[in-house]
This record gives sequence, structure tokens and C-alpha cells, in this order.
Amino acid sequence: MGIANSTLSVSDLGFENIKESFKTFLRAQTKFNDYDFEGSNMSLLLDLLAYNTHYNTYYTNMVANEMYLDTALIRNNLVSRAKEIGYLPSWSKGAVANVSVTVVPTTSPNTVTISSDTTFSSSIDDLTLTFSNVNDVVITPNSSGGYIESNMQLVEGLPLTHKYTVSTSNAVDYLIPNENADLTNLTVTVQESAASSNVQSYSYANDITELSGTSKIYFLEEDNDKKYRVYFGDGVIGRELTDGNVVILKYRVCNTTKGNGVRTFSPPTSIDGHSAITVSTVSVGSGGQVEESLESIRQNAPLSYERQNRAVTVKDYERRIIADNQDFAAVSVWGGDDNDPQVFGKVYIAVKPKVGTVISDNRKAALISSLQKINVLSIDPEVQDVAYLYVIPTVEVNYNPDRTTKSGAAIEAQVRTAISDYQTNNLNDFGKVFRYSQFIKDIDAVDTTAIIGNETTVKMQKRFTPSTTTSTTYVVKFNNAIKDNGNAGDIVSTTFTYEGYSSYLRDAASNNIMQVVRTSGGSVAIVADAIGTIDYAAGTVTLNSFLPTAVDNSGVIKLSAEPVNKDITPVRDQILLIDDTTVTTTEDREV
Amino acid sequence: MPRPDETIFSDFTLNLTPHPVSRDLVIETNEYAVKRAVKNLIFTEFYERPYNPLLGSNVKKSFFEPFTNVTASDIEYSIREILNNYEPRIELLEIKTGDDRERNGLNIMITFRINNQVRPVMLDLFIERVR
Repeated sequence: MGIANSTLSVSDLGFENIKESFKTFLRAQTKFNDYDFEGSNMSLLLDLLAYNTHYNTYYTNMVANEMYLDTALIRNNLVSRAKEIGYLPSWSKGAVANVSVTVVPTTSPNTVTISSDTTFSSSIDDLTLTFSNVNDVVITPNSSGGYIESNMQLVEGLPLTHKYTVSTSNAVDYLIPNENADLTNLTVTVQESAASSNVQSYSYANDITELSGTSKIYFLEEDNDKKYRVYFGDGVIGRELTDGNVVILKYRVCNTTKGNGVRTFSPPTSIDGHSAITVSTVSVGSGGQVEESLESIRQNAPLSYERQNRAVTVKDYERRIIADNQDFAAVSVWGGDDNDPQVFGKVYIAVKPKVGTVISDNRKAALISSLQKINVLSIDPEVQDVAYLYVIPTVEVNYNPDRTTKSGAAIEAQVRTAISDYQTNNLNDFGKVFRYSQFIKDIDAVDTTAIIGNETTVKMQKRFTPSTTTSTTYVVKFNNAIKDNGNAGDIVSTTFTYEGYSSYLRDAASNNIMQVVRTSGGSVAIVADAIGTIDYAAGTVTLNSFLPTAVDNSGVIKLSAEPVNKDITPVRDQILLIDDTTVTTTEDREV
Repeated sequence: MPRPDETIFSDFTLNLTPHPVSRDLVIETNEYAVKRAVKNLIFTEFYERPYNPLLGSNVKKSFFEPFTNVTASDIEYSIREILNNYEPRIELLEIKTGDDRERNGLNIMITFRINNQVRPVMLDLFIERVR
């Protein structure tokens, strides 16, 4: 029961609160008394008024929410808000693969042309995908008379063309009427008239400051329901179309991420009239992505506005790269002056893809190309692979079997899951530090009743793939200080064949040098002394003119060392991952 | 006990007719206001009131049932339940139901006493299907 108040409260928006406000208001008068009884006519009227008020407040609230970038939930509205600050959400993209195409003509033509949009089919998970080349590719015979295009780019998606005739009296919407339209290779051409052969190519306008009334440009915006619209200039900014012009839009409708990982491609039945065709894969399909998500638009639109379509600071680069490449999980950027060694005039980029561990050389080239349009002229971007630094924990868990019904194996499995969770939640990204205390705390937390404690040691491990044919110098950077106990074997590697012996790398007891050694009759024999040097403080191992003849572990040498500080910190392009975990359980009964 | 001329309960009429002289809304008071409220409650169906789905009775639904002793009992139970739950101003004395076969309808007679009043109040309702 509220207190009478002749002022109507409008601060509450819930139905019950509104109705109660009305009742409080009515308590201040004596004419009608029955507002408190549900059966009364007055109560019916209050229900109606409260419902109407509630309905309007709800509606107003929703409308207000949809008016702002921070709160809009409907994609069309969010995109519209983003458009106000000049942000174009990224569209779906088909996977890109590179293939080598060999054509064997029956005659000896001067050239063989692979026309644009020649389709190469592929299938993955029972889904047939269409890949095609964007531009014409002209193959000339090589020195041995073969017609080989060794690195042709294929893009997944079905090529489509739409034509619209311009009419100023009845405005035409130049809509791309398909979802999942990959507009990366959108071509917009304008034919003077249906009967004319005068066709002019228009380019995408991404910088209006350089445009005039005659610039042949088009604009692009996301329309309703994830469809995009092309529109043209008004004669002041960009050339205006005239009646009878025919707008021709060519693009692809893609299957987004489904083309990622595609490895084999079937050739078309003929190329330039020749049917003997073989295709081999140079790089598998990658880069396919869905359209930008709502949360991504919400985050990136203001950031895009902030950077003003320029890449100057480290954050500019990171935001731009993440916004344009939805298949990248994380990006780290650092200036050449922060690099080791310092290289001025460069900006370094390390990219962690969502699938796999590295991106292809073609993706790197495409990334650099896209950045060069917006970065400072004198700065060269350089894309590097992520340098994974592995944390190798050895965990001994002491548990009391009297306090649990679990077996040692069950506790071990739980600890492994906890370690995996630790990596997922705390590592696996640039700049994420391995915190030893948190790590062992998480292990204890697996079963606070049964687990009495744990003894955990950690090593750090770098992996590299040496050449078995060319003598090469390798600089292995842990970027964390290595513990020097003064004994040989503070740093050890996995095995490989060196000068005919199954050997491994280790540090010598003194002199900061690396050795290649082997075990012989229970003792260690040196195969090659002073093969490299060690900077324990910097965590750098240098191997000079190193040439193993065969390497175990699929050609990978794993070099392990104990860190001085158990908290392991990644720098620049490094990401920490936990691997080769050893977990043992020991029963520890209370006596 | 209130005086006979004292206004304890007051409500307006649902047809919102103005008073012929004062042009104010016509006001129903005391016994008449309560009778109107009782009638409103009986003819309210579940889920009819916004945000109050449990306020209602099954009386209207019973029109579609054959009139037997069970149906009559159901109707009486529904009326008793809603009045006990939502009309605290009355003490329910009796509910009688009887069919009127000639007029294809149902007679409901409700007897109750308004709190703090001695005289019982009777509400006669004749209900029939109109569609």
C-alpha cells in the first residue's frame, strides 16, 4: 500500500509499477475509492492505462536502443549507425587457393588463355564448391615447350552478373540481391546504352577527398538483410549516371568458410579449346569468412572512425587487420625500432589465424598489399609467422586416496583438462604471460579435497625445422632468460642425425657454447664441439653452419631449456602454448 | 458500522455515461459498486487481464458444456474461487445455479454480505450464449 501522492510518478516503466503509480495518484482524491479492488471498473481502466503506458515505454525503449551503435540489436539498424561514421562492414569472403595448371595442347599455340571465371570444382564434406580465377591468365610455353601456370589464384564462389538500366524518372536500386556475396573482386562497369559498345570501368571510392564530378567511381553500402547496394556519384562527388546507361555488376556468391582447407581441384573440361589439363595444389583454400558480426561492427566502427582510414600507430594496424580479416584470431604489431635487431622503416606484423598456426605466403602478400594503401609511405609492412614458444610442464600431483573415490588415472585426466583450460583461458594469444603461481593453483583446484599439493617444473621449448641439405645459421630466441646451472645439458634438444650419428644438441658446462653430442656406451661423446653460442640472459641460442642429415619428429628439432623466471613472458610475435605435458600422480596417505 | 448514506465504495459506470444534469461521470456507490465488481470478476476469463493471467474464472467456458450437476458444481466452484481470491469486500453466503431450458440460459444467484453490513445482498445473473 503506497502513500497518497497527487503527483503522478513516471519513473517506473514496469506494468505493475505503473499501475501502482496510478493507484498512489488516486489515493489523493476521494471521488473514486475502488481502484484497489480487481473487479472494479476503475481497476479495469487502470489496467488499460497501465498496459498502454507500459507498451509505449517498451516501444520507446526499443526505438531508443536501436538508435545508437552501442545498443542496437537489429543488424540493419546497427549497420545504419555504422554508416553514419563511414564504416562499411566486411562482407562474406570465399576461400582463396593457389594451384598450378598444366595444359597440354595437341598443337603448339603461341599462348593458352585461361579466361576469367573458368571454374575448377572441388568438394569437401560432400559439398561441391566452385573455384574460379578472377582475371584472364595467359600462358606462354616455357623453355621445354610446356604450358604451365605455376601459381594461379582461385577464389571460391559462383560468379554472377547483374545488369540494371539507369532511369532518372524511376530511380533504380543497384542492389546485389544475394547474401554471402563476396565483393572482394566486385567489378562495376557502365555501358553507355544497351546498344553501345562503350563500356567504362568504375572503381570503388574509398577516399572522397580525391574525387571530382567526373571521377568514375561507385560507392558501396550494406543494405537490409545482409545485402549490399552500389550507388554512384551525383556529378559533384563522382560521375552521375544518365538515362539509358546500363550498370553491370559482377561478383561471386560464396560458401564463406566452407572452402577453407580444400586441397584438391578438378580442372574444367577444356581451357582455350584444349582438354588435356592437370591441376596441382600450391596452397590449400584459406581466408573464407562469414560477414562481419554485430559485435565486431559495434567494436570496429568507432575504431575505424578514430583511425580515419589510416595506419600510423601500432593500434591502427591491429584494428585495421582484424577488421578486414575475420579469419584472423589475433594480431600483434610492433615497430622496427622495437624489433630485435632494430630495423628502422619497417613495421612488423604477426598473425595468428583462427584455423591452423600460420597463414600462407599469398595471404601475407595480400595483407601487405592492403596495408600499403593506407600506411605511411616510407614504412614497409612485413608479415611474420607467429613464433610459438612452448611451455613444457612436468607435474607431480600428490593426492590422498582416502579422501576420494577417484583413481590416480582419473585425477591425472582431470589435471590434464585443467592444464588445457589454463591454456585456453590464459595463453594462446599475443602478450599473454604464463603465470606459474596461477598455473599450480589451477592444478590444486582440480580437487581441493583429494589433492594435497603438486610439484611442478616448467621448461620452455622452441621448435625449428633445419635444412638437411644446406648448412645454415639458426638463431633460436626464447626471449626469456635461460637458467645456467653450470652443468652440461641445461639446454637439450630432440634427436637428429649428425655426421652419421644419432645425436642431440646441448650446452657445454662452460664457455657458453653449444655442442652436438651422442650417447655411446652409457657415456656422452661429443660429435661436434662449439657448434654455436648461448646468451643465457637474453635467452638466445645461435647455431652456426648447422647441417644435420636427418631429423626425427617430422623434421622438427625441439630445443628445451629451464627459464630463470618461472613466469614466462612472450614478446612481439611470440605466443605461448602448453605442450608435451607430463602428469604423474603419487599417493600420499595421512598417517 | 457505516451510516446508510455514507459512501464507502465508489466506482464509475463502465458505459461512461454522463450524469444528465451535472454532466459528470455517473458514480456507482457501495452495494451497487460491489455488485458491479462481482459481476466483472465472474465474467473475466483467465489471461484476459494484462500481466495478471491468474485472475479469471471458467464460467464463460462452461457455456459450451452440457448443463449437468457437474457443470453446475464447476460454475459454483469457479465463482467461489474468484470471489474469495479477488473480492475481499464481501463474505460469500450462497451460490445457486439453475438452468432455464425455455430461454436456453442459466440462472446464477449469488448471495453475499458486504463487510461491516448486516443486510445480505443478492445478485441475480441470467447468462446465455449469444454466439
